[in-house]
Amino acid sequence: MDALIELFISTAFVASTLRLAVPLMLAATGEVISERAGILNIGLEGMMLMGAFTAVIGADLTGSPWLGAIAGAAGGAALASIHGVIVIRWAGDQVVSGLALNLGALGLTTYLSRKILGTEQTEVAHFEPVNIPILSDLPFFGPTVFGQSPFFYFAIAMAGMLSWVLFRTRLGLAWRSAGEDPDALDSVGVSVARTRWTALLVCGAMAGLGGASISLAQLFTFIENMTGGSGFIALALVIVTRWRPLWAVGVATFFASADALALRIQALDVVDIPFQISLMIPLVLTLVMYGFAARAGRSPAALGRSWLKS
Amino acid sequence: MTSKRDALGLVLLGRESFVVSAVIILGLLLSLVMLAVTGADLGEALPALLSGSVGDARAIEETLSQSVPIMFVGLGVAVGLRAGLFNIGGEGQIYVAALAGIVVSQWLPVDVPVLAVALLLVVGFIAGGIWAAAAGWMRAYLHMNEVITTILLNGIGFLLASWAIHGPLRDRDGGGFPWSEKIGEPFRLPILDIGPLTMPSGFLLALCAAVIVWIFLDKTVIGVELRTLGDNRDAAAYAGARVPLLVIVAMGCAGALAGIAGVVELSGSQERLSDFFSPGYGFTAIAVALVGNARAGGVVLAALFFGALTAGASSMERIAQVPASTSLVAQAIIVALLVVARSERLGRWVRARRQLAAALDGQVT
Amino acid sequence: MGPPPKPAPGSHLLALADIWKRYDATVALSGASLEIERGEIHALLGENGAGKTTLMNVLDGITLPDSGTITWSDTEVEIDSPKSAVSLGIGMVHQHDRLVPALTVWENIALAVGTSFKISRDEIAEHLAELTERYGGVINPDALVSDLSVGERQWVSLLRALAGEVKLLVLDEPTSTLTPIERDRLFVALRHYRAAGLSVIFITHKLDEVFALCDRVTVMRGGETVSTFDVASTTHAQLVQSMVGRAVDTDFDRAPSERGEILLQVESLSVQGARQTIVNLDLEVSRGEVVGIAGVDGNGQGELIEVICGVREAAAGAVTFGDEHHGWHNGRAASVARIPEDRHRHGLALGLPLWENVHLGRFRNRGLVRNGFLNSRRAYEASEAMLEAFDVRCSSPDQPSGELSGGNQQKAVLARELSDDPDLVVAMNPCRGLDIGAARFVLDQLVAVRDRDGGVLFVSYDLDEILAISDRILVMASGRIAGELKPGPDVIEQIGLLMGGAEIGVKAQ
Repeated sequence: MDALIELFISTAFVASTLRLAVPLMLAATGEVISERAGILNIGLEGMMLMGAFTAVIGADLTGSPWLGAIAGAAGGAALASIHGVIVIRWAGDQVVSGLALNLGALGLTTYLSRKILGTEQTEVAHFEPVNIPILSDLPFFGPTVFGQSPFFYFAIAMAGMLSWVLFRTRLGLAWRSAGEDPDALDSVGVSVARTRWTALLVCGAMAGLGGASISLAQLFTFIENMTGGSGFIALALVIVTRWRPLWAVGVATFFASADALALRIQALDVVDIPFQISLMIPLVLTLVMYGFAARAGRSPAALGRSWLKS
Repeated sequence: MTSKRDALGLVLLGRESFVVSAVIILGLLLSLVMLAVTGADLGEALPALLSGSVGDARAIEETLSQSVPIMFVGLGVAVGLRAGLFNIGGEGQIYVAALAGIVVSQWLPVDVPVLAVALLLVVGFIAGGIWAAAAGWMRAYLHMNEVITTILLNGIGFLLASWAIHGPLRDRDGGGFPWSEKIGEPFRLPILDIGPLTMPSGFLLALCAAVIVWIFLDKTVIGVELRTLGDNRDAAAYAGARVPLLVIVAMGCAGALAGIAGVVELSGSQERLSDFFSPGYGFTAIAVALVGNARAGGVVLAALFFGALTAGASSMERIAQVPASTSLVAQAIIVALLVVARSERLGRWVRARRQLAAALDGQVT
Repeated sequence: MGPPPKPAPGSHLLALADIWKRYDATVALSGASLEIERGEIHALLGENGAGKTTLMNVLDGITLPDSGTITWSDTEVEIDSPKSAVSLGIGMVHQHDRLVPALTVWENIALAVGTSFKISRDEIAEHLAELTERYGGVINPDALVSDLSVGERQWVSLLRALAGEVKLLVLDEPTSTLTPIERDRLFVALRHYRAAGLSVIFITHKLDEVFALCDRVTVMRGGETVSTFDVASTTHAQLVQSMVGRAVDTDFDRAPSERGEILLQVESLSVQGARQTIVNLDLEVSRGEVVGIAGVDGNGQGELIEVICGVREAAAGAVTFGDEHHGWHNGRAASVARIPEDRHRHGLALGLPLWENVHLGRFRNRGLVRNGFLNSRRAYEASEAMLEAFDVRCSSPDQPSGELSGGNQQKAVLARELSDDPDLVVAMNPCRGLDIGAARFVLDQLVAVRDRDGGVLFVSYDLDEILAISDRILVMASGRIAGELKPGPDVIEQIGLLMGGAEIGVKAQ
């Protein structure tokens, strides 16, 4: 029993949960926006990886983690714009395009990181946790929750802001219409292509930041394939959020807590569960959550469907 | 008088093989440009690429050997695609099937080679099939997108195999590496000598699989039903097909072929299961199936091409110090260009040009 | 509502002159012209396919014409998107509404009206309340559009069109989905609107609406605007003459026939459909009869046919085919033909070759399968004969069915479904989008089934077709059979009443 308490109710558990949740929050929030506008972005993983890479390059060149984060967002958005050319401009298949981007991002970052960064893992300018005054002095989890990297606060702020944009502004209305019924949007004279482009670029930038949050706030360097499937997890979590940005915060945190649990089980050695099996917990959990969400939720009606003006 | 239609080159444009060849050439050129821009020595890299893929008997064997797993998995992806389903789960299916193969080979140490190999193939077929059919079931009855479920099942399948080789199946005398013991001698597929060349026997099996897939899709009732499902789900339902069952069958077939890839790789090439058993065969196979236009013959050619690319890239890394990961970039560029080549906008453009050509023909004649 | 103010000559609100539009092989508009005065309700009258909707899409900027000029308040304008139409002051209500079903009413209005970045529910709701006060209707701004009835959606579309600064309102067949009460309310609103000096283009194919509402009428036929009349000084006959331009050919040779055994029985069927709920519906089809189902689009016909064809689950009730000793398995026998509503969505696998398409779902029945393997050669040869018998124009049976014209696709579906001499045919709008010759061919085939003592269940939105071949006519409205009629000279009016949901118990059994 003590061991269980030790597992869950500890600052280390909360800290690692929040730390693991940040990249997922950022990427999942971005994907929510893109899917709302009807663009399925399987390339999310590749965009995260690209963002992680360009962030490291940016931070390395400028010596500033902030500029690094911006470079990360730009890297994700750049990859997203290739997706946009293929699926919005040419109306190509969204799934295949996304898969190609994943493949390309893996190959390109691996290749370029060896070219530019070499094989030694150099530590670059990175983010330190930021303590929010007063709040971080709260007892129990205060120092943990309010002593996170800037990405954490940014992820939550962006989820809130994008939620507001999605539900309370003309742009959000256009996004939702583009994902539900692009013909209807076109018939009121709003460009479906332009609408989808904005959503996709937001998604790319958010995914890039998600990647940057791994490279600049967790590992401080770039490692080949360092996102290790987070993008795919985020993709599944989007369905669980039922396409609401704010939910991405909660769902990502819940998933991350399972992930953190897997790590804690290893670290504490309290239960004799093999490493691989505990790593399966979050995957199986995602599958189960998806199973329930798929039955309850209704995806945007035009999701994944290309649209061309006739 | 030559027809205007020909003058516009539209006969060629309509041909899939022309489109694919053009895409491949353009993709390779773009990849070379990328290499040149990033400062690779093409004068050294290109000969290495060629000699490593088709330069000599050894290189050709390597190309064939590299093409075997992606041919099997690619055939599976093709079956799925023809039925309108996307099996991204090749990786997981490979690992699960190879794991099942190791377990069965240790548990049932058959010592008649032919029987042993046949047993292994059946085990791979079933294990991979079940792993993918689960995704088919989730698609058919729970409305879960197979793209996402197979990706998640990839992770789970890999971890399952990884757990086994770190734990119960670990080779105690393996020099400290977390891998399984070598599979028993009778379970191994031989390398065949044909004239001056050598060829992994798995390659022949893959060719047989291609023929079977072709017959299955084109010459059986289930094949027609699967293709109808892929073309138009509603039409399939109207024609009385049991759609949920077909979805499970299609995914099951796709996974079974990937499963065979796993056991053939195990018995014909690597002989033991490790954490690095599949260097992304499941993903390369998607490129193979797409470039092969989801046709059995096309998949065979595409698998040979990507096999050669992989073999050549690793020799490029050895000789010219150009990382092999560039072959991933080349794959990505080719697939991305292919998506554009088969996109709706380009299709529309070609149709419009055809009509224009037909109109011109009409005016001239 | 007084008479329309006489416009000053030479100063039209809108003039469309010599508009041409060509699609692939077909000419949709050939030199159409139209002039609209200020303060008039102008009817655009024509049969299905006459080009009315295309002409209005040109006006709305959805379709760009190949040539022709548009003059708005004496200035030549170019309308290249719905936005420019809106900015001129043209408000559009399409026949099939362009509302986003997953959004609420106020969100749909916000989408089309206003330019501010932030959208305010309360402002829109207030605006909507003003509109409903002026034009009638009760609309909850927070309702999801997908929860509204077809008539309510139509009303929302109308109010949305009126929400901007509109000088010309265009309504495309607005009454086809309205009940009589809703229709009257619409007419009142439009007269009110005209009284304010604004103009309306009212697209319809119903003559009585022209006489009930409109000031002038322009008749379209075959992509041309044939002529324009003052409604006050024209007659039904005159309009029909210019609208049809030919004698209606409803002359089918039909042998008299007796109703035989029951082939299809639908009992107490209830269905939860996407557009319409069917409650407790009964019908039967016997040998030797064509049972026509008349009704306005979206009153449950599609759902009914889907249940009969086995692609939609019924909530309650039973569908029985023939009787037990026929061994009909859920109607999946050679002796039941299903001609689905939408050949693209349900009828054909467009990427597959014709020779496979004409056997879809019937390989086994036709003995083309042994041990699971196809006898491709026999199937191919059989397909050649079938395609010829049904006059499907194609380059070869290897041609993908998607490359055929609509009429030929429909004939390919008929070839598949009717080649086994079925006892029962279930057909929904089989003539939709066909030219007259092809439509006639399809109807002849259905009559032939009846004449060799088969039964036909025939759903059509086109009353002329129903009247031409039915032995019994059922009228469907709001998911119910509103009444049953025998074809006859005076039956049209009764059908019209029943379609509108009138509660008159006409049971001409």
